[in-house]
Amino acid sequence: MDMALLAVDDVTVRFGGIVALSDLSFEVERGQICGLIGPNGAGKTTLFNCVSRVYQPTSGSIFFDGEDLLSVPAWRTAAKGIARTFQNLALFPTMTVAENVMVGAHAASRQNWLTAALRLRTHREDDQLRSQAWELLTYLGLQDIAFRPCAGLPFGTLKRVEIARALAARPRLLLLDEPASGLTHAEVAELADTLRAIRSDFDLTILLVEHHMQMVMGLSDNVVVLDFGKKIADGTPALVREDPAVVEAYLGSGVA
Amino acid sequence: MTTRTIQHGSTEHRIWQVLLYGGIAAVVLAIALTQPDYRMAQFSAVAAWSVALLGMNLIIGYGGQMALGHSAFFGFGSYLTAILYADYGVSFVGTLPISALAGAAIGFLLGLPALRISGLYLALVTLALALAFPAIAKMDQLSALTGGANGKLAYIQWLPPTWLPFTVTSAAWVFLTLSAFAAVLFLLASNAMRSRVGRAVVALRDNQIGAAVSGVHPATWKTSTFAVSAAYASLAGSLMMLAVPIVTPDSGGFLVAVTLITGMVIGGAGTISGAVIGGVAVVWLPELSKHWAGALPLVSESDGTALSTAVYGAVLILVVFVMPGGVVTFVRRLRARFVVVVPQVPATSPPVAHAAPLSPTPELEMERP
Ligand SMILES: Nc1ncnc2c1ncn2[C@@H]1O[C@H](COP(=O)(O)OP(=O)(O)OP(=O)(O)O)[C@@H](O)[C@H]1O
Ligand SMILES: [Mg+2]
Repeated sequence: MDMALLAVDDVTVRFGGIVALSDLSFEVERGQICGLIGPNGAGKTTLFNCVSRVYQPTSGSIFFDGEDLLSVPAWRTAAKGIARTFQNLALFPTMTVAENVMVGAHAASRQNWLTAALRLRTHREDDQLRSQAWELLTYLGLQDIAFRPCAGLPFGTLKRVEIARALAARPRLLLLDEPASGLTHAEVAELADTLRAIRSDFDLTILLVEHHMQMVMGLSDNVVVLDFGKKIADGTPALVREDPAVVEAYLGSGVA
Repeated sequence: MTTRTIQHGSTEHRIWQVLLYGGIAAVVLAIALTQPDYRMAQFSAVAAWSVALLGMNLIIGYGGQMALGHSAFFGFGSYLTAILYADYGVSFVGTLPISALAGAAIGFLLGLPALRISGLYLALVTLALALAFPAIAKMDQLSALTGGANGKLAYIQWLPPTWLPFTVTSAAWVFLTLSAFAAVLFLLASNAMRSRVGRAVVALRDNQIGAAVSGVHPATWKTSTFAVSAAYASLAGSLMMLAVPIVTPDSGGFLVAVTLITGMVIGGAGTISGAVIGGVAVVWLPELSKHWAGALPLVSESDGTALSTAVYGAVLILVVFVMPGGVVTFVRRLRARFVVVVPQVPATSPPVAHAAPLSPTPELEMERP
């Protein structure tokens, strides 16, 4: 099967007078890391929200593994194999880091009010979830804070916790919204290594939104560039970097 | 004083748990064997109230849904048990599952429109429920069932069984029975909150979008939390009939709603054990306030009674400021100075080369602050 894992087709999103995305089409191939870049307000997060079904596009369609994604509600995307992180975090502050990661596996677990109250299967499933969370946290170097509540932890650390939570869903497609924000230069390099490792260890396709150009260009197989909701370039990092439209879009914004 | 670290699930932890729960059981038994009947009725009421407060805690404390009108479910449960027992010959225990299921069904139905509103709006709508309850209970069309404005009497026969190894009064037997029911209901709720269920409920409270993209279906979990908490409140009303043989329209009214909110806040919203503390506070704080008001200097005995409500209010304000998060959170913080319970690291974790040794971490709080 040659079909792209994610196909965005003619997607338009309007908020009143604002056109956040305008006839956007692109594809993400299996196993790729696809960079999605563009100046502030270009519509990157809006696209994430469409794919994770938080927003309904005004028009257009999105296919995931050949299936029409726009008929899938947000809470079912995890079960379909899509997981994401958030630009400004959407963690559960009163829960511990480990519990946050365990919620990430919600779709893959079955416990309900009755079985949980009567502890019918709780032991085994919860133990399993707990050790899976522990493994993921260890993998991401977060084991020391596993039992700390999220509230009060540094932003950069929490961005990493969100990656752990997303991985707990065992996704096929991982959407990362600015994972490097709040990190030092050295940490950004380390994150790039981590993302590379994640892709192969978890057999993932990654759609990466990031302002850190060096990281995106070094990591991505393919880069899609947005400006004012429109796609202005799409290709390998080397091609996109030389693209006059891209240079133009980034002129003055100090990113390129 | 050094802080002691105990591994969760270790022998030492088990011993402490056995001591704690054994101690509670011993206290309950001691109360049953020593307290006079009028006190016993109060202790019985604590058991019933604590179940209602637990229900409130599930929806408000854990679920973050401002459902403030649970007195309506409480009153409903009392009426249901009174009517089924007195008019239809259903045994007391037989009325309990009916009360739970009916409460859950109504709670579920009310939980559906509640999906569309939150915060202040939900608070207002649910309080309206508490306001409407007495009027509905008094309706002429229902008075054959409810007894109208006078309320409904149901003296439930509840005598100590002969197999008991000790002799207790029937009031004490009522207390023991209600304590046992409450204990089971507490265990069930605690199990649920420590599982995937509790994580889903709290996740929705903390961040609904984060929960939804993790696969937590908001509507399912919010309405089911509503249903379960309503079932608890309804069951509490049923249990109360054993302690107090009359239910009136006001049993489900606004004052009871406020009482429930008060008890929840004092005990600690989002804690399981806070519901018991709240039950104690709800039963004795008004009485103690009267006592304290009478003891105020420069106040005559009769003024003291008039001032009791003011003292009651002052105590509430004091609790909120001195112990934000309720008594349970306060006690936990105190305890954390002496004992820290460290969660067990899962056994199956693979050894990782770069993993630093685990430093002592704060207790894994399965109950939320
Ligand atoms: N819910 C919303 N309601 C109204 N306007 C919105 C909404 N979400 C996004 N927008 C608008 O859509 C446009 C695109 O926003 P979006 O957040 O997708 O940009 P972005 O590319 O992620 O930018 P950044 O790099 O700053 O995160 C912006 O003009 C934004 O103000
Ligand atoms: Mg954005």
